[in-house]
Amino acid sequence: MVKNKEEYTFNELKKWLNSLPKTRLNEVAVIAGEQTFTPIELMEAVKDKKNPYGRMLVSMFNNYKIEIEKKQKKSEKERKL
Amino acid sequence: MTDLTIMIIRQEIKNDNYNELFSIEAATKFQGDLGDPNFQSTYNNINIELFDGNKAKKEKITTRFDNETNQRKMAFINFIVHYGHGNSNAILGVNNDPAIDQTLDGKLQGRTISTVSCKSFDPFGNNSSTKGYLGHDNIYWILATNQPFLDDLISASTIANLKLAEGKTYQIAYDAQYLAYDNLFNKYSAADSLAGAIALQNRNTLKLKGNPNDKVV
Repeated sequence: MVKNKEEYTFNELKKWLNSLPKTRLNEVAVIAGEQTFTPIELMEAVKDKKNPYGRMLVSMFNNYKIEIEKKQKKSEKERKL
Repeated sequence: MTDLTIMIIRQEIKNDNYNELFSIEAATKFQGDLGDPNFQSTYNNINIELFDGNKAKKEKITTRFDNETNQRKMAFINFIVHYGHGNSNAILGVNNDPAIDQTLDGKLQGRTISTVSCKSFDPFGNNSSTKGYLGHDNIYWILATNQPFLDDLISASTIANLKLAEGKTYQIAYDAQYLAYDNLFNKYSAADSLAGAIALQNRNTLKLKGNPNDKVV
């Protein structure tokens, strides 16, 4: 059971990180405007509650979760009809 | 029948990941698609003027605007398409200096700006005297670890600009762009949740200023 938005984001990023080949771990993975992040830096940004990019990622994954749930509910409804 | 004159501002900063992995490719794709024999537009002629490298500079852009009204009588730039960095006050060019900001506002009437950059919609674009402004009100995110997603993001980022060049309304262009990001979300989110979250973020930060029923010309 996911406790909060931070934990959900961290878990999703962990899954993503584990799916990457080891050679990619030190390369630029995400570009947020002028800021770049390696996968490890991205995980650290999420852990740091004062990092604005980390906060934004938490918000992005929260929106992602809401959208996924919305789509799941819609397809369940359609299946029942 | 009318002509459309497009200024493409393509920011090119060396060793800048946003420019090198994304925005230069996207600007080049947009320009290439306009030249495709299958591209159809309601405009009679489409003229393209590329402001790349050291031309992506406020002084050069100002001179070009001034050449519309002085004895050179150059064609009026109806549509400004920008790919590069941005902030709340400007879209950026050479050395990340403002290429267009509020100091040029007196020369923006009757023009449409569309930019794929961070934050420039608010307050700059939204308060500008442009006829229409399409841009983002927060950070624009890119995922570099998933090449098919990156390629699709580059394509998606040209959709609204192509619609506007076809002669479609602001609303149609905005909706098509929104749908393109939504399609990216649907395509990638099951296998790559970060790609899904990024597609959604770029969709949600897309904003339009102007009469939705207006066209560039």
